[in-house]
Amino acid sequence: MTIGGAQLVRDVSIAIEPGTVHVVMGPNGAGKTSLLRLLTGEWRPTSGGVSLDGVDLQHIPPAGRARQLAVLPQQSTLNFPFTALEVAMLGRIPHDTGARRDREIVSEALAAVDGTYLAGREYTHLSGGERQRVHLARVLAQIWEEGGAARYLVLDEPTASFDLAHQQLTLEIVRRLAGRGVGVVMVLHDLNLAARCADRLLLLQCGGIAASGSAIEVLTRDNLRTVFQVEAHIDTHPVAGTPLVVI
Amino acid sequence: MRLLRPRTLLLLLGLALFPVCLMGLMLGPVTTDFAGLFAALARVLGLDAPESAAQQALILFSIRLPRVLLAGLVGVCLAVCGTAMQGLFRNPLADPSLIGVSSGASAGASLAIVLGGGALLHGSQFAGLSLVAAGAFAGGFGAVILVYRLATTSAGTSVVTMLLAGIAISALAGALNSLLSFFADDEMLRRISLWQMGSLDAADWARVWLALAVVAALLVVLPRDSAALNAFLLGESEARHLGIDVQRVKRRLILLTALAVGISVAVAGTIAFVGLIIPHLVRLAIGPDHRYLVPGSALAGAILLIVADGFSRILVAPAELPAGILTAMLGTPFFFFLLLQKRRFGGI
Repeated sequence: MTIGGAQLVRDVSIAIEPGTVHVVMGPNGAGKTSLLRLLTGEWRPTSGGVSLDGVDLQHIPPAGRARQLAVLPQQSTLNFPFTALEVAMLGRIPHDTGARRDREIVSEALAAVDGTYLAGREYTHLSGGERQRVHLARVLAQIWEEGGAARYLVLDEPTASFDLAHQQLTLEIVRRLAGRGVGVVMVLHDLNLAARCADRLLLLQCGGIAASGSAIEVLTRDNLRTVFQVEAHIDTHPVAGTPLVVI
Repeated sequence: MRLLRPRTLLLLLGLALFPVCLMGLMLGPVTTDFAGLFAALARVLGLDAPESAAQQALILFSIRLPRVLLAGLVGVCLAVCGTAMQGLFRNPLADPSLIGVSSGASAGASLAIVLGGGALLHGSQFAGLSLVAAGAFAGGFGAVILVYRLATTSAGTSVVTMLLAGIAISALAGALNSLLSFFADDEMLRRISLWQMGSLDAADWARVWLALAVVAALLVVLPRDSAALNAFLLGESEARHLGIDVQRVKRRLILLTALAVGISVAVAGTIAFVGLIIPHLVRLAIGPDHRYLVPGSALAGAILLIVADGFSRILVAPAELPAGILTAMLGTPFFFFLLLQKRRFGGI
């Protein structure tokens, strides 16, 4: 992918199987968000292609694509006084399941993100973390129902504005979705959170893949030194058995 | 904080529309009471009615009725297009004049007044419009198309570029307008400045049908794009991820706005603040959901302009105040009020 002569992402090949969680990591400017924009069809690759269940992403009609693929951006610029419930309801736009069913799904999605108490509140009056949870409920509502085509969820730094409890909650939600067959791609900065929930890790550097594989394969002293220029100690998480990075 | 449930507001506005229309019919230099109204109605329907009702009937049904209807229709056009632009630009302070339609129309009208002097005397008509109105429509529509083309690349239309291009085109049209005023004689100058104040005194049935056609198009297309406009408020890429064909919706709404506002400026001159204030007020009452905001703005816009036009006829009777002056004078205090509210509570 090249924009204005700058090569943003090159030679990245990634296959997201339903039911797996992929975590993309890397320093600022490594091409994480660019990669997500390519994966979600927001940008057309200058060479190569992106396909969803074997069909080129650009050839799938927008509404059909939205029923299969939901995207949570880093932050949203909504400054109109919708209620939190109304924002979450926007996730049902691609569906025509009827107002009653939509409302059921949205209240379940809000409950899943611990946001039931936010429903009637005005979005513009919520804190950053609360807003992000409302948006998480919105994208969950978008791909809530099982049955039908495979579903995918793309999250760009979903936990950035969350407190500890809600970080854990988000990772639980992601694992639960994967358990129900959703393919998840997510950008995370916290190496330990990534290690806890990823099936596969993708370490990006300067638009290319520096390392990929399981948490144990990717989170090594050598990789972290080359990509992040930090000296890290890798331990093992006493309960989960996943790598534990101490810097 | 919502003041009203959306359906309640729609019901109230719908109920208010009929009495407001009646009031519009009865107000004027020659005021009519209900008895006169019924006598005139009977006369028009060919029923037995006193001879004296003939003049009443003429005033009510040939002069005032088209005027009330035109005021309502222009109000719908401006308010609904304002709603669409605010949604499209994700900015509660946007209005159709932002993309150059008003200034383009002014320049077009001035051009017609200054260069078309001879043709004006012969009262030539084009699709029911005078030469000046046709010039205004061409100017307004042309300006928007130019702005749209400037802001559109193969990657789509950038609303930020549209905003900047709209400012540039408005400045250019303003300069053209000044140039034409500079060369105009006294009679032309008066016509130009009167036209710019906006007035419905040229209302006739041909203009009503024209406005009705545009309003019909608006009210068929916009409710179907309500969900898309709601998604737009999240941002363009979010709307795309919700399955909205962003570029197609954008193009449709911009063209429709150019057409509708172009026509309403052509038949009524530039009428300020309706496109800005009405969507704003309705949003304040029922929230930003376009499924209710579009019909609510349509009704409220019609009511505001019918009322403003009614007052414009009686305040300095037998002369008339241009309705554009009244809407601006009513609109500005409201606008200040909203700005203060925004400062106090944050976010509109």
